Amino acid sequence: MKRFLAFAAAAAVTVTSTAMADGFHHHRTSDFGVEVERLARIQSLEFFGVFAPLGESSTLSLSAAAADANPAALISVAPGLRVKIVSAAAALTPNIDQLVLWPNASQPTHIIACNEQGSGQIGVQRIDLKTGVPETIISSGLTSCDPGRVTAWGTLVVGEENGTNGRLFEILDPLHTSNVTVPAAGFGASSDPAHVVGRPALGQFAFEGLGILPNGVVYLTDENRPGGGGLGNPGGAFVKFIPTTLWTGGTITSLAQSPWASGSLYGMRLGRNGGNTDVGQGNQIGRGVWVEITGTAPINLRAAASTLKLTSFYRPEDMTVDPEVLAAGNVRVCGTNTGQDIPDSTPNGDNNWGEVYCVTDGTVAAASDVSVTSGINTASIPEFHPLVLGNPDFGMPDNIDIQPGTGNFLLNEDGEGALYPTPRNNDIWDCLDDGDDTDTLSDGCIKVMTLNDLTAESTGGIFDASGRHYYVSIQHNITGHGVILDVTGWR
Amino acid sequence: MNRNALRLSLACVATFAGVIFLFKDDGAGIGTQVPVPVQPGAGASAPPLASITMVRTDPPPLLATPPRADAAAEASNDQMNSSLMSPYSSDADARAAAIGDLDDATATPQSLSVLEQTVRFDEVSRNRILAVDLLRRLAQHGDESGRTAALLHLALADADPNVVTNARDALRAVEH
Repeated sequence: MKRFLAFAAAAAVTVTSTAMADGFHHHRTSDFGVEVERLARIQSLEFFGVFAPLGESSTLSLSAAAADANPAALISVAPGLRVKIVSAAAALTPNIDQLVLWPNASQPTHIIACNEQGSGQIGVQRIDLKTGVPETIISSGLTSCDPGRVTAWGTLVVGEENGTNGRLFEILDPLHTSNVTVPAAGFGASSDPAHVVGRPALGQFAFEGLGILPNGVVYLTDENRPGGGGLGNPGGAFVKFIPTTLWTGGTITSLAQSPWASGSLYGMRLGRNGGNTDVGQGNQIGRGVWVEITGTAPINLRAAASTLKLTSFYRPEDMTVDPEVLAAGNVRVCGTNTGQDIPDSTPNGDNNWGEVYCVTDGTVAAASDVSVTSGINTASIPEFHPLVLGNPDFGMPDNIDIQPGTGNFLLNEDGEGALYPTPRNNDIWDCLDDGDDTDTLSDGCIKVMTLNDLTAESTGGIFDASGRHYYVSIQHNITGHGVILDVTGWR
Repeated sequence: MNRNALRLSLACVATFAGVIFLFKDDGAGIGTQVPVPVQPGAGASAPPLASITMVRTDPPPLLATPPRADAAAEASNDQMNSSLMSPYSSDADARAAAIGDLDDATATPQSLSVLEQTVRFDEVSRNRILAVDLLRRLAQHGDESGRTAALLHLALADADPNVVTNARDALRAVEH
């Protein structure tokens, strides 16, 4: 009996321990990740400046008649936000991508917009913020005009997302430059060379991301998908241009004075272990080196990226300079790798929802140095880390801007929601930066806008300096003409 | 060692063995839950899943003979067949681009054939909306044969309410 009791006691202890362990394993009453998302929603006013986030993406697709009757209805916004129409003029080009506030983001009078169509169509327009009337700056010659920026020396730069034929152009005095034609290829003179010139020194690839420092150093990305030209070929590279003469302040009066007339190019290659040899597939994160890109301008940067084994990404898109980090004398640029959000209900579904990343490059001084040893610019060390990883509800991030005042990232989704079994619209997301927690990822994102046009995407979203006006284009929308909206009401 | 101490030792060993047994298959570590397969779009805030194949009514044919694949459609098919090299993200995007490349001022038998195939058979409602919108623009440039209007009427029978709304508004625009 005693033996039986001892065995029973042992069994009871075992069962009790098992039950306790089982409870530890299975009896959670909440999902911590869901709890974090819930916290982001209920604290949306404090962290995102809206009363509440949006839930589901819109599944509505307005007709042209409905959208023309009220272009603001092309987008639904989070509670607290308001939508005003900047322009929905019939003459506003239909495929407007990136937007530039001119002459600056503090007191803009115009938006200057890149139109992403063929070389026979209008490439660049200016839109009067008071009247919404568009006027043409470059009337033809540009193919798929996509990026646009103001430079510190007072020019406008626009670029072509056009494979290895992509070019960058500088425009002087864009409010008084009209109907200029540029060659459909190459760097021949424009019809107004005093006001519009190509910049061969910055090379050629599919320009999309431009991160320009005040001294003229610029970070560039190639919107290229992997596998182009052959299985296993690289995607888009990340390149830096350093002017021969750094810009030190003021504005130019002639395009010949631009710091982009000449300079040197470097490509980012991640991996420093083993004397910078741990590079290639499998290493797409962390620190790396700047590899010197040599050749006669204009250099085919895509070919150079392949030859020099630069790190590549899945269709790098827009990019922005972090102004807070820049003010402290350092470099941090953040951009998007859009990926391939084709639903897995289709044969070629990838479920690669893209990412938002940031690259640091040390101090501005180091990032602008050209100390080259054995083909490596040793002055600064690029370091790449993801900030936001995409998901089925937030796929293919494209345009990016940082909201002044909050430091939040606003991201235009260019996903394939229209192909989902239940088609959904593209959204605009608002993401926190990384905080003081241990990881290097965004602390949370919420959906703040959703389109009501399954044929469209939002592009070029950009804040003014106050952070209270968010201008955004509704590209290739159902009306057949451009629509630019101003979203206000940010708290 | 007395007998009670031996029994206590055996109990502890049994307990330890029980715990080890409990976690022996949990290679991912304590607290890891067995993942439940979830398809994209099935998350809490993602759109619900449904079959991508549309259930649609089949209205009477507009053409005496089935629409033959014209040059644009063949180009579209070529793009589908070479999707590895395609600049488009998907076959559906290639078909959408093919619609966008059609002249929106003059309807030709070929373009109407493409549009009819899209309205009837394209499984992506976004593409059917694009076709309806192009039909609207074509009709506004003149529709002597009445075929563009007929195709818009065909789209009124679509299973997707967005397509129906677009077709209805297009017909209003054309008929006024």
